[in-house]
Amino acid sequence: MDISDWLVGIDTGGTFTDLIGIDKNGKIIISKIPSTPTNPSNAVISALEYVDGSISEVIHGTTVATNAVLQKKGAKIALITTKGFRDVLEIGRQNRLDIYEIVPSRAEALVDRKYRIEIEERVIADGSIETILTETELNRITEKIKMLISHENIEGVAISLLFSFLNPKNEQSIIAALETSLNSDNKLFPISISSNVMPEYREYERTSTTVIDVYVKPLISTYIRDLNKRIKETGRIGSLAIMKSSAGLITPEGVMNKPVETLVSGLAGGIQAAELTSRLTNYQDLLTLDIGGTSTDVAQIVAGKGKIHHQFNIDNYPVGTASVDVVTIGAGGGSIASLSAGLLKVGPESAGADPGPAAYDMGGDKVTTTDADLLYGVLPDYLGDNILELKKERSKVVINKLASEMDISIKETINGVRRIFHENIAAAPRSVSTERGVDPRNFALLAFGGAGPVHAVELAELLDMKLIIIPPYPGIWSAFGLVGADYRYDLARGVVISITSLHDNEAELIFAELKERVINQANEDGIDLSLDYYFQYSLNMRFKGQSFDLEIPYSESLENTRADFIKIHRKTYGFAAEDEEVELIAFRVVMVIAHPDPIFQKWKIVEEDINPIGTREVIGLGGVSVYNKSQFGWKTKIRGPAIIDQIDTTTWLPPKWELEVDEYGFMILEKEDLK
Amino acid sequence: MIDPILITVLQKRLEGISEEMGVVMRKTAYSPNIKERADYSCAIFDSDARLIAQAAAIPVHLGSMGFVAKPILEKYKSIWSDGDAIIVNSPRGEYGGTHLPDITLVTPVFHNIEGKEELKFIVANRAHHADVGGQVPGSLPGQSTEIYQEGLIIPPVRLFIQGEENSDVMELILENVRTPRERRGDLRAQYSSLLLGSRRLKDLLVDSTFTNSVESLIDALLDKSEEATRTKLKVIPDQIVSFHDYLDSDGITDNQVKIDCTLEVDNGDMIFDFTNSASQQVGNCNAPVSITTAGVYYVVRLITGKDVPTNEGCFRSISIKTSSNSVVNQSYDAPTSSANTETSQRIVDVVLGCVQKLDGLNIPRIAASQGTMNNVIIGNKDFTVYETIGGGSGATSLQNGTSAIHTHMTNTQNTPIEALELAYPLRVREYGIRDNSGGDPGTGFRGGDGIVRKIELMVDAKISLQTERRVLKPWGIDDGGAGKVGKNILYQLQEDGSYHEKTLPGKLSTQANKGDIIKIETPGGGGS
Repeated sequence: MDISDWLVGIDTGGTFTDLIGIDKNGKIIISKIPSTPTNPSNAVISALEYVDGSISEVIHGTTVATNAVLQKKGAKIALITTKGFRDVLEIGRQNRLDIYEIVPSRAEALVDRKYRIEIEERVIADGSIETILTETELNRITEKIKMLISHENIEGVAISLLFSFLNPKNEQSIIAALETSLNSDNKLFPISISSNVMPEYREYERTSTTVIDVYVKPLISTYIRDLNKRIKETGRIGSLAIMKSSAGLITPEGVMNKPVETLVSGLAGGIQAAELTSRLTNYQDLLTLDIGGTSTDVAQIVAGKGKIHHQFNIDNYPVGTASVDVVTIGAGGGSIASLSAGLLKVGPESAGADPGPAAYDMGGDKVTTTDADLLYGVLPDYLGDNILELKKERSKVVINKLASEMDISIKETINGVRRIFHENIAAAPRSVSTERGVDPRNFALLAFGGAGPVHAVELAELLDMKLIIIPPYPGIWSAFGLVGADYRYDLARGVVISITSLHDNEAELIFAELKERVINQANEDGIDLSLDYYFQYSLNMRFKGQSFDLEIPYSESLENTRADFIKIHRKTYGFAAEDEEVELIAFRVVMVIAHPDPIFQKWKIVEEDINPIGTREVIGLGGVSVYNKSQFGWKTKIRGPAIIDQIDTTTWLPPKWELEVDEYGFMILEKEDLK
Repeated sequence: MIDPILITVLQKRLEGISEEMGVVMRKTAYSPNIKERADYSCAIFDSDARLIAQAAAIPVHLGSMGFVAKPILEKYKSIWSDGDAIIVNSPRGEYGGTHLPDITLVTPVFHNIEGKEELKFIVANRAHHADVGGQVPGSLPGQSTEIYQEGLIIPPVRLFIQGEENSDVMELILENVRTPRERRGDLRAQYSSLLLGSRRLKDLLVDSTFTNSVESLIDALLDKSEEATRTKLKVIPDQIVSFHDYLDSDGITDNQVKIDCTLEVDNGDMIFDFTNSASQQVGNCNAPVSITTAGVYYVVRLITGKDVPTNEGCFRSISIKTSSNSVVNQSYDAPTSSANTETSQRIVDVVLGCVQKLDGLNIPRIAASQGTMNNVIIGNKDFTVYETIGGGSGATSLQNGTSAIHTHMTNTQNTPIEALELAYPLRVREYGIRDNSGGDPGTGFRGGDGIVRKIELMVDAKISLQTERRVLKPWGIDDGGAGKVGKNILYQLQEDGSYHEKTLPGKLSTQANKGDIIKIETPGGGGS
C-alpha cells in the first residue's frame, strides 16, 4: 500500500476531466473522462476510481468560480460604497466593448442597482478621514442589510469604499457591525471588504474584485465542502489542495476564505506544467501554446518561471489578484472556417465538442480546423482509444462546399484553412512578445493540448522558432502541472507615495507586517508550516505621473531597488529618466511553501531504428510513415516526414524536421539545416 | 491569379503590425491620456499613400487619418529617407488634421532593391497630447475665435532625420507647451511605435510567403474591401433622403448652427452632400473636412459591419460634398478646437438620422445618443487635467439605450477617481448615473441615462468646457421621448460657507476658486 501512495492531479475542463497520478516510484497513470458540469465533483470522484491504492494528496484545478462568472450563476449580493459612488461598479471605465456596435455594451454589473447602498463617510488621498462614519449611519446600514436579507434574500455583501486601501478603518467598522448584528460567521454569510481582497488603488477594479469574491463564494464553498467530504469518505485519500490563479496551491479552507483567487485556476495548471517542463528538460525560456478544442492559451516562461500579474479580465470584469499571465485566443481544433467579406475566416466561433467538427458526424455542418487536418492527411481514423471515428467523407462534403464558395480547389481550401488557423495563433505570441519586450525566436516552443502537436512545427516555422518540445502526455499536460505546484500566498499593500518619503526601516516594517499577516493566514488555512517555506518581497514602482508601474524585487534598500527600477524601466521601455521622482505603488509579499516535485521515471533507451506501423497520405507528400509513441524510448530519433500517434494527440513532423526523445519522454523537435 | 488565402494572410499580418504599433505606443508613452485613456491610433499606408490597415481606433481618427499620408508623400517624396519622421497637427490644408492636440507622426518605409532604396510603405500614428500650448491649459479653449489661440500649429516638418531627433524642431515645440517633459516622452513613444512598424514591414517584404507579390496582394485586398462594402450597400435601393440637426452654439454667439445632409444612393454608391450646412462660425465649432469624413465613415462602418477589413477600399463607394468656409469644412484661420469632439458627434447624429430614413436598410434604427463628449479641462500653471464624460446612448427600435457610456466618435476611458485625487488638487464628490435623463419610451424603448460628475477644486484653477446638447435635446425616434439636455453648474463657495449656484453655458473658459464645485450632468439618449 505504502509503495503505491499516489500523488494525483485532477483538472476539470469544460468537456473533459483529466487525471494524472504518479506514485513514489515514478509510475504514471492517466485518464480522461467526460466532465459533469451540473456537479463537477462527480467526475472528480469517478476519475479517482482509476487510481488503485492509497493517495497521499489530490491537487485540483477547478472552473467552478470561472463558470459562476461566465454563466452569471453567482449569488445575489449587496454592495456598500462611499456616498456618491454606488454606480462606479456599473460605469466601469465608461468605454464600450466594441466601437462599431449600434447599441454600446459593457459587462453587466454583478450587483443590481437597488442593492447598491451608499454610506456617509470619506477617506481622502492622504489616507486621513474627511467624513467620519457615525454610529447612526452604521446602524442605518446594518438595518438596511438585515432588511435586504429577510425581504430580498440577499446572499452576501461586498464593501468597497474610496481610498480604503490607504485607510481600511471604515470598511472594518462596517464588517464588524454587520457580523455582530447578523451574528453569523463569514463562511456562512459571505462579507468581503475591498481593503482585504485587493488593497490597491483604482476604485472600479478594487470594487469589481471584491464583488466577484462575494459573488462566487457561496457556490465555490458548497462545491469545495462537498468535494472535500466525498474525498474524505473514500478513506484512502490524505488531503485535497486547490490550484489558485497564481499557479500556487491553497487548502480547501483557504479557497473559502478568498475564492476570487481561484478564478482562473484552470489556466494556472498550464503554466505550472510549462515550469515543470522547464525543470525536466532544462530549457529555461519557453513559449507555450496550449491548443484545445475551442481556444489556445499563449504564455511565456522566462528563466523557468511564468509571469504573474496583478490585473486581468474575466468576461470583461477586471480582477486584481495575483494570476498567471496567459493570453487566450479563439483558435482551436473546433474553430469554424467560413467566408467573410470575401476573405477566409477561421474562428473565433467554434463547433466545440458538440456538434463538433463535421468529421465527428454528430450534426456539425461547418468546416473546422480538425476537418482540414483530417483531409490534409495527418490525423488517424479514430480519436483516443478508438472512442470516436473521424469520418473523412463528412469532412469532404463541407470542404467541397467552402471550396466552391471561394472558387478554389479542395486542396487549396484545406491548406488555406490550416494556414489561416496558423496565422491566427502566430499573431498572439508576436504581440505578447512585443508587450513584454522579448524576442521569442530564441525560445523553445512548448506545444500541448489536443491539437498542439498537430500544428507545432508549422507554427514554429511561422514564428521563426528553431526548437519545439512536445511533452510526453500533451493532451493532459495541464493536469501534470498540478502535481508540480507549491503552496503560495500573495499579499499586497497599496500606497502611492514618493520613494523619498520613506526610510528603509519603515519599508521593512511594512514588509514585516505583511509577512506576519501571511503566516497567520497560512496557519488559519491549515497549511503545514513544518514544510520548507520562503518569502519574496517586491515593490511596484513608477515615475511620478506615469499610470503604469513595474514590479521590482526588493533588494536590501529602497535606494538599491530604485536603481534596479531605473535599469528595468530602461530595458523594458527603452528609456528612463534617472533624476526623476519615483513613486511606490504597492508593497508585495509572496510566501511559497515548497511542495517537492514527484520523482519521474526515466524512459528506457531505444536507439535502434523503429518500423512504422503504417502510412498515411498527406497532401503534397504522398505516403508518410506513421509511428506510435509507445514504440519510442529515450534517444529514439525520427526524421520527418512522419506522424506520431498517441492516445491523446498526434504529432505532425513535416519534412526537414527531426525529433529525438529525451530521458523523460519529451520529444525535442529541431529543423535539420539548423542543427 | 491572386491567391485568396495569401490576401487574408497579408491582411492579418498588416492588422497585427498596426496593433503592435499601438502596444509600443501605450507601453512607452508618458501621459495618462495615451496610457490610461488610450486616445491614439496607428495606421499603415502603401507607397501610393493609400490606407491599407488601421488598428481598431478612436472613430474620429479612423476617417481622418486616411488623408494624412498623401500630402506628406507629395511634399517629402524627393527628400525623405529611412528613419525620418514627419510631425504634423495642422487641421489646415489636406493633412487630415482634426484639432491641434492630435499630433500625427509619419514615417516612410524604404526597402533596398538591387542597391536602390524604394519607398514601400508609409506608417503613421496619431495621439491626443494633453497640452499643445495656446490660451488655456489643455489646449481646448471654450471660446476661441482664431486657431492661433488653440495652441501651436505644426505644419509637416521633420522631427526625426535618419533616426536622429531633430532638436531644432523638438525644442521649438517644447518651448511652446505647458508640460514639455511629458510631450517629449509621448513624441518619442510615437516614434518608437513607427520604428517598430517600419521594422515589421521590412520583414514582411522579404518573407518568402509573399514571393514578391505584396503589391498585387495589396491591390486585391483593397478590392476585396470595396467589393464587400458594395455588396452590403447594394441591397439599399436608389433614393434620396435628407436630415438636419443643430449645434447649440459656437460658444461665442447664441446662434444655433445647422448641419444638413442629403444622401443620394445610386446603385450602391452613397453621396453625402453637406452643402446646405451653416457657413463657418466665429467660435471654434468649425470642422476640418477630415472630421466630417470621419463621421460619415463611422456610420458606413456601422452599416457594413466589422468583418470588412479597414482600408481605402471600404470607402471607394462613398463620396462627400461640402462647401468651403463652412462648419463642415473650415477655412485656413478658423478656430476648430471643439469640432473634433462636439461637431463630430452632431455630424454623426445627422448622418445616422439620414441613413435611417433609407428604405431597405438592414440595421435597427437608433435615437440620438448624448451627442457630446463633455470635455472638461481643469488646470493652472501647475497641472492640467483633461476628461471626457460618457452619457446616455439612444434607444433602438429593438432595445433600451445604454446608460453612462461613451458613444459614437469616442471611446476613451475615464481616469479613476483615486488616480485623479492622488495626482491633482481635486476631490470628486459624486460620480453616478443621472436618473431619468434618458428619453421615455413610446411604444418602444427607453434611452440610456447620462452621468452626474461633481468635482471640488482644492486650489484656484481655470475650468474650460466644450460641451453640447445643453440646449437642444437628443431626439427620440418614432413616438419615443427626447433625452434630457446636459447641465454645467458651478457652485461658487461663498465666505459664509454657502454656495452660489451658477449655470454655465456649453462652451466657455472661466476662472474658479478653491472650494468651488463643478457639476456636469451629461445628456441622456433619446427613446424609441
